[in-house]
Amino acid sequence: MRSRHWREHVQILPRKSKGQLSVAAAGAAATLDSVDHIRRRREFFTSVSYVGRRLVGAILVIYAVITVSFFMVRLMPGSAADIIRGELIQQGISPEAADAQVSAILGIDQSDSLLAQYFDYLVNTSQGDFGTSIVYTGRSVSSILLEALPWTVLLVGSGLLISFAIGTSLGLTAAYTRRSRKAGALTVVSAVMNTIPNYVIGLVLLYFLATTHQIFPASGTYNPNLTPQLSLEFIGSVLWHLVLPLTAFVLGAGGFGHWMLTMKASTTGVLGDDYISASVARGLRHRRIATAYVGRNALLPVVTYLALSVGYLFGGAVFIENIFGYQGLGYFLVSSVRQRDYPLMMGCFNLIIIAVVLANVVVDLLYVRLDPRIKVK
Amino acid sequence: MIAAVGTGIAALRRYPGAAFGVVVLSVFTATALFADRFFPWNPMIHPDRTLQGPSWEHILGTDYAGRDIFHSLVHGTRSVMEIGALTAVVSTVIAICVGMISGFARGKVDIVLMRITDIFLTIPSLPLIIVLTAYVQSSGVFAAVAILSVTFWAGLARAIRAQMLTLTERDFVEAARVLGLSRRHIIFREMLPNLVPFIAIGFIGFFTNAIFAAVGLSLLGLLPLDSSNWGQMLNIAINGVGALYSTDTVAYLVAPIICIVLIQLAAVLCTRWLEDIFNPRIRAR
Repeated sequence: MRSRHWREHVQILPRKSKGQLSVAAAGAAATLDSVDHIRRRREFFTSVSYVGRRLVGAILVIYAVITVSFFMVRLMPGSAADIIRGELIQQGISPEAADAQVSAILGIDQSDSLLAQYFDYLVNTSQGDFGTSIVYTGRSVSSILLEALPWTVLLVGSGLLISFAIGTSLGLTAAYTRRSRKAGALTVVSAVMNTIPNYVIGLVLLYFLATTHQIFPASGTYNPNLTPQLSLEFIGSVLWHLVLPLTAFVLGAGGFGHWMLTMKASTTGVLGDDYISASVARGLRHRRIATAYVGRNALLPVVTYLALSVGYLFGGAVFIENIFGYQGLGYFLVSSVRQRDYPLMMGCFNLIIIAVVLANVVVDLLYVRLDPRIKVK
Repeated sequence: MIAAVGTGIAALRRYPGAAFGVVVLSVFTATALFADRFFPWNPMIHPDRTLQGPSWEHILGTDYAGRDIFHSLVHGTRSVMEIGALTAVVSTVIAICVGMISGFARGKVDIVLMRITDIFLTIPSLPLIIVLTAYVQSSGVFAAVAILSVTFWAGLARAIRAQMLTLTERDFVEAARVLGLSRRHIIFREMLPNLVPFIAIGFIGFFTNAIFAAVGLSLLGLLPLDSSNWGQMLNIAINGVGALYSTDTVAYLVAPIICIVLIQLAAVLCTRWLEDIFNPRIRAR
């Protein structure tokens, strides 16, 4: 019992800051219960204020982006409103009627003052109303986005999870056996793969596995002959269509190679730390040191990168979705730019930004769980 | 200067991969600069020799319009390298200005600049670039460079600011201040040289990202560019000639891919080389 108590303290030491240490020391003197209670309450409030700050920051960014997008739609010379109006007039519609149509399409009343229009735009956007699509006549942008979003989330989410899992475990292994030939080969392969753009890998996969040998489907998210439902056949079809895009995502730049290199560097740094030598000296099992001590501490900086790369990953998905005709947000973003469907384009853009910002907040919260020090700062 | 060249060469000897990177990048740069003189670009259509396989006359075969694929590839190098290099220069300059002003001025200027930087860091650059291409009317290298640079600079600006903040605490800067040297001297003579490693590595990063984005966007047919480049070749390979569906014209698909991979790989190797030169601790290992 006693020795276990000591071990727990040693394990906690390097991860706790001075403030918490003194609390722990006081705890030894005073009655343990009350101190623990105070500490927990303080931790709760500091973590609430941390989360609060992150959320306020996220909302600020979203607000800034929506404001900028308003200016792009409405104010800039060559703005969406101008271009749609010009096209309508070219089709032989009178300027007044064109104005009315532009207002209807964008969901903005152009006769209002600019401030009122801006306010309307903010209210509409925050309610998820992005106007009406020009190309898909009669469909609201939000209904198209709602259909596209799950596919992007599926692709980016599963791609990120798989790359992260493969990459970090390979990185940990390579750092552990870093003098071996296997580790060297692993590093070279990861570094090379991390330089190859994912659309290049996508094209190669498309060429070999979907067209010259038609093993996998070349486009789409599921077999169009099936109705979307929770049947085994439908889920199988979804997974079958996911294989190639997912593989391109995992193998290309920013995929597993990136996580492998980051994790390897981080682990190599941690391996030199004193508490690792201490845990070896204490005779802990190799496996426990590797996971609970080295792995957990080495993962911290890697998770920071996770937050930074979420946006990059959404960007990378744009290429993959278009190469494989995978109808997610990136697919509609590009097709709407090609067809000058401005409401749909801005809707895709705003939604991608909101998704990225929210994903950042989630990663930040994850970070608090992983690293208790952050709460005190 | 001579000492720096000496360190560079010594690092090359220790690290042969870097030599490969430097050679490849030099070859591409030379191709971009001089190739048009030796292989004059000829957009003429030759209906009599479309979609030929590789031969002695046309090393990589011909495309759907009877043009020599090797010539198209060489010609495309120019616009790809131009966009990469110019974007790298512009983004680096923006990053240096924002980072150094923010790190030196501190206070309100710093807070405002960093808020803006944070917003740019959060917005994923590719979707922003794609949306911007819808609004840019002019086509040409400069429009493409402007669009790419606007979205790239933020990361390096933050790194430079952070570095400036630690540098102001260092003894030699303190000493310069006590000696009464001008602010200009302190910023440009004392601090800037210490930022060179960050700037150089950031520069190469911008270069590779610009090529990655420019080729990818031309592949999707989005970037407003007149001149042909590798991304357009890939675009045509997929959508136009159907290189995807026949094995004869596979060179039209594979050749640009190999060039892209080579250039990205070479840039990363050069970064490692620079890190090796700049960081004496790595050198000692």
